[in-house]
Amino acid sequence: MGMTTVHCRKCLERLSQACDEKSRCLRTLLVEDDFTCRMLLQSFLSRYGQCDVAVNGREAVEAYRAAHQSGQRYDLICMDILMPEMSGRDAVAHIRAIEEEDGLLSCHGARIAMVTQLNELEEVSRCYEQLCDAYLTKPIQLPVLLERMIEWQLIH
Amino acid sequence: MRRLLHDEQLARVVLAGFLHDLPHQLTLIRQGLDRHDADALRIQAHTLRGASATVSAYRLQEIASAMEHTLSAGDLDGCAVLYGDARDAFDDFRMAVRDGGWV
Repeated sequence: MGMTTVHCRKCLERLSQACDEKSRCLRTLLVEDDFTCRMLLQSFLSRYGQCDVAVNGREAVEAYRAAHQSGQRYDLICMDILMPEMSGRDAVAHIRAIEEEDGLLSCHGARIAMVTQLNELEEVSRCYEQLCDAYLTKPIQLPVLLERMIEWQLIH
Repeated sequence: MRRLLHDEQLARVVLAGFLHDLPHQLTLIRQGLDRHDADALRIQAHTLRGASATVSAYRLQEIASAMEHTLSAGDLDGCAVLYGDARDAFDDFRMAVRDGGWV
């Protein structure tokens, strides 16, 4: 785990606004069943590039597989946990399995941030066991997400 | 606003989305109560809590949290009472948002 740099509030606010055309190349998959959370994250992440949306784990796995097969892999996945049809945790397991089939280690795969209301330690452990990269609790804190995106060198 | 990087425009967009979507969420809860579908209600109550937290609708957030607890205890009648409270809390929140000039 690398060292985290803490950025000042003004720096983060500037970074969230000052995204020019050159840096708009991030490919994100947002997996969220709630309209309001989805609207917030999609509005924010779209500033940095393409943000595709899935509303449950099953759709997320399908979207990930399609992108993977077309060679247009996602850089970042923001994943809710409690969703209908397939949970976010199960979806992460499937996504990491797809990467592994392709000989891709999770550290070189998509960065996956769980974004959830569930804050029990057991749930956090389970998600890290499925090789997520971050566990962010709701309500969504954009400065925290932005810090992670910088730490992972997804934006500069 | 700190959670949203002090981005007022984003806050307005999200608030408008919340006000647009919440009636639909409340309808889904009503339908879940009519069907006595505890599993669907659990997911809906959880979603309501998350959406409310996103826009700092604290009273609604508390009610949704209480719904999740009553549903965990299998108390659908208690959930039905809370559903009425949620409708009232949403009306109050909508009025406050409009009075505040946010939408």
